[in-house]
Amino acid sequence: MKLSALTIPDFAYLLSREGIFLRADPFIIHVHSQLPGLAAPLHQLYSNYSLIQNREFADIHIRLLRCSGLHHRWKGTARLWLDDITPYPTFPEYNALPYLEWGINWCVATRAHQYLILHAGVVAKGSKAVLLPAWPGYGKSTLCAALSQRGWRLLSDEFGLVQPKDPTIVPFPRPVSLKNQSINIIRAFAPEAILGPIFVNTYKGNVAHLQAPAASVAHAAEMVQAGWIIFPEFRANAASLLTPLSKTQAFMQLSHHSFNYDRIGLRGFETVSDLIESCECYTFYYSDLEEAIAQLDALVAGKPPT
Amino acid sequence: MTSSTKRWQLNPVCRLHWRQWDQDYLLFNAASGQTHMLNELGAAILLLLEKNMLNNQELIEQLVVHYDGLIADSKLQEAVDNLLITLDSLGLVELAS
Repeated sequence: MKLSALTIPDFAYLLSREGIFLRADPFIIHVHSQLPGLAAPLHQLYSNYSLIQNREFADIHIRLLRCSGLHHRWKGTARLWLDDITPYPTFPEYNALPYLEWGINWCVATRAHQYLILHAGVVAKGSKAVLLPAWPGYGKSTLCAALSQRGWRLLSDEFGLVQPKDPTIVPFPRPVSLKNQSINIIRAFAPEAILGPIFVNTYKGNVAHLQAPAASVAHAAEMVQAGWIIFPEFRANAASLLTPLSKTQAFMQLSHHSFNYDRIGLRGFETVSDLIESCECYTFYYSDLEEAIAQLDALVAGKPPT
Repeated sequence: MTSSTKRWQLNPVCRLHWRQWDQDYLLFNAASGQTHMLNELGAAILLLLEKNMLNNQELIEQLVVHYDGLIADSKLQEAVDNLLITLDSLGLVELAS
């Protein structure tokens, strides 16, 4: 059943009772919460996802609960639980959605070791994917958001999940987390895009989420071969510039952008190596989104950068 | 036997996996979980020591035989000596007992 088939009150009721089992391929996520501000934005941003009827298994169990005690109740603070772990300090109840998103990310980054986990945006056009590994603040999510609004398939704005041996990219499309100036940039770039509410003064500043395109969610189970590894970096007022990167340099950079390269040993080395060998590798400076997209469109169409 | 005549060997606990792109070599040691980037000379030394135990002089002789353009001069001697110290510190080679 699609989540959008439920009304917000029905969804909120389900969320607050036994919780929802959300199919966000390749994972099933169990979310349970009675926080009043969570249901509406969650319903909006995940409306194209399916709810699982079989409630026997979930990869990730998340509870967002109101803190007990008079002080917490008066201040309206909540806490996120992942099984019995609370990786974050308490937070205002009204910021529940960003904490849910960060909690999901935390689980994937620390537990999904069946994959090589890259800190990377992933988009695709045609039959091949572009990996966009980048440090926080380099504009990876903004670029993914913009591409997803110009006909590119969104596989993830946060995780490049690489299946060892092939190596293929496992899509994990979710709402794109936009921070601070990126929110208005994407609003201006794609006025028709569906953005959730702005959560102000989180520990990452102001945060809003862009709904993942329905087609990207519908094709989430279809894995993709990577064709390009591009290390993007937003540079104010810079012209878009794609520069080829040697395989060795790309390897060293890509392994640094992995959450679990050191942990999975030889599998990590071989997967990164195979990925590098099967891809063209570039660094990419950009500032203007339209110009950046035109350059990436040309690249995947087989026109080498000038 | 002086230190210069002692033979080097690959650290027997090493389990090495190689990739080569152009003149760069990447080496993953499954025993330590560490990844190393090597130049051609460093890779050549390790590849020779994978096959035989060799002292510094023997290594230089083998390198000159196997790799075009290398000359057995003091520069090569110094480079090999330094690389062996580095490879030893990384736990990749050791002096044979």
